Amino acid sequence: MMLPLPSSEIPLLNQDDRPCYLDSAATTLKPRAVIDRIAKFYAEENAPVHRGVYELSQRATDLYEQARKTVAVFAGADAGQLIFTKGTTEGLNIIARAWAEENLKVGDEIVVSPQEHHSNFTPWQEAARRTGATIRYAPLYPNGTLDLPGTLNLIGSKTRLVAMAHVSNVLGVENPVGEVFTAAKAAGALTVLDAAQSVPTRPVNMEELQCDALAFSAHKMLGPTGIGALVVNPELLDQMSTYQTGGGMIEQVSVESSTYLSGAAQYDAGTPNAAGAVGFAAACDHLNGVEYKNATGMAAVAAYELDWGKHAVELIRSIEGVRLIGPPEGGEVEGGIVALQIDGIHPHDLAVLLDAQGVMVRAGHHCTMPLHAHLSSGVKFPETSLRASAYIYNTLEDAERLADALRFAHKALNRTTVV
Amino acid sequence: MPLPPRLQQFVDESAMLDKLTRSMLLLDYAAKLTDYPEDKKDNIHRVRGCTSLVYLDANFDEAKGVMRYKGFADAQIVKGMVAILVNGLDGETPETITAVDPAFIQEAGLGEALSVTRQGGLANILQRMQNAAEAALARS
Repeated sequence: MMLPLPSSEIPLLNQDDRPCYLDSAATTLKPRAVIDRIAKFYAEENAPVHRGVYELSQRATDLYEQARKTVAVFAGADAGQLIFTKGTTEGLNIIARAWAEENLKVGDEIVVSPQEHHSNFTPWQEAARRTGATIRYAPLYPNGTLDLPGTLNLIGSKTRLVAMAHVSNVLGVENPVGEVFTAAKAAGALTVLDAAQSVPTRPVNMEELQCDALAFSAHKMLGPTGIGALVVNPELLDQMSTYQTGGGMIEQVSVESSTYLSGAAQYDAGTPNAAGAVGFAAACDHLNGVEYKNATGMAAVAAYELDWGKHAVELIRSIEGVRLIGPPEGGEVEGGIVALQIDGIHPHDLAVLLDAQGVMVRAGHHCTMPLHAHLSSGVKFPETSLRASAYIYNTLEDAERLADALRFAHKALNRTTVV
Repeated sequence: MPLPPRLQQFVDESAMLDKLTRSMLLLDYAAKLTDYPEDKKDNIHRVRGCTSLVYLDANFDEAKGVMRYKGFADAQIVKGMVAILVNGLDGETPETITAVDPAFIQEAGLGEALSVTRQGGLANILQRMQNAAEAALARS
């Protein structure tokens, strides 16, 4: 299917007054194919997985395990490496609990940057608090991008874990993950990638990036909420301890003691979200089938997002008083995230006035308070911003609607700004 | 108990508007809220749970038996909401103010403009104004 996806494929967009939904970095809309696949599971295939001897249960189990394989292959991994989670946040917390808190001690160091989403920040703060390990904060340039030489300088013999976002959810640009993780691996540290914004928007190769664990969410890539994936290399999987215990992950349970399954199966405590997994796989299939220009699959998604971002940024740059923070000052557009501030105007006001014009964007700190504190240091802008984020159903006209709505909001708010 | 007249007037006007016109009306209200004292922009006067920085100064005028309010917000839409409450409740008796039913927020169509985060800012501000009125009643 050619990009952009037509409105007829996305029920929420298929209205006379088509909404201009630009909050896809938070969560994407769902195509009819994914919605129908989940409905089919509940209507015709629903049964507990890994538990029944009857045919319906075995069929549901096959679908769940097939979904694990589909999602793993999508991320360039084997099914045995994939743990289904609630989403990226849980995936990162599993590493913090099942590896970091079991293995770190006083004197060990975790390297993380203030650019990170809170989901890839607070789990490491908690792990440090519980183990006595120290967090070393990777330095950022004034525009929020990672200071690579400064970061590499922090990595040494005490470094045990380095966690980083592949793509910033505010700046919209890739971090130099390959370089940082190569240095981390050479120092013997574990490398953890927050891939929430990258797996949905571009091809990601775990091996090339030297990452030991990678987490992402279905709902940011056309799939359902409440399910995500944590992909871990087999060596790390062997070192991880139990995260949650209960039904479905045991080997033997007795009043004296209990033993558990090994590998990814150990992380399936409780009745798994089989409908979610099936929907997740349907989303991967949908993404694999898209085309744009001469590319297919995730290469097509990346190319489309880049073209959309370039168009949007060009339009927004022409609006007086706008300070773009994504793409960062002095940086290039890399995808469909545009974050901005307007001198003297609260992003909340902009978002309300944009909503009133049918344009949905996000205002606030976007779960990156340390990054916003960094970006506002020494300037008069507030510690919040406005973020518009597109996905493969947004048209170039949506970018124009955004720019027009911003221009109107700017004018309306300037009229009332009290100096 | 009916709403105080100026608040009712706003609700009647706002309920008929589309989202964009209502937002513009809020901006008009915001522009009128100008006299908040600088020395009262502190933690004591800050209203927590709002998406923007909001201050409220509430006093009981014992001679006249009415509440006096002043407010400020750094975001204009929120400031407009503060202005509606200040304009609607300033000069009313504590009894009238404590009897205000927050349901008017939905009736005026302000629920959707407020639901930017999970904290209900306007309800918080109203609560704070009503708390001050209750305290005045307890003292008198």
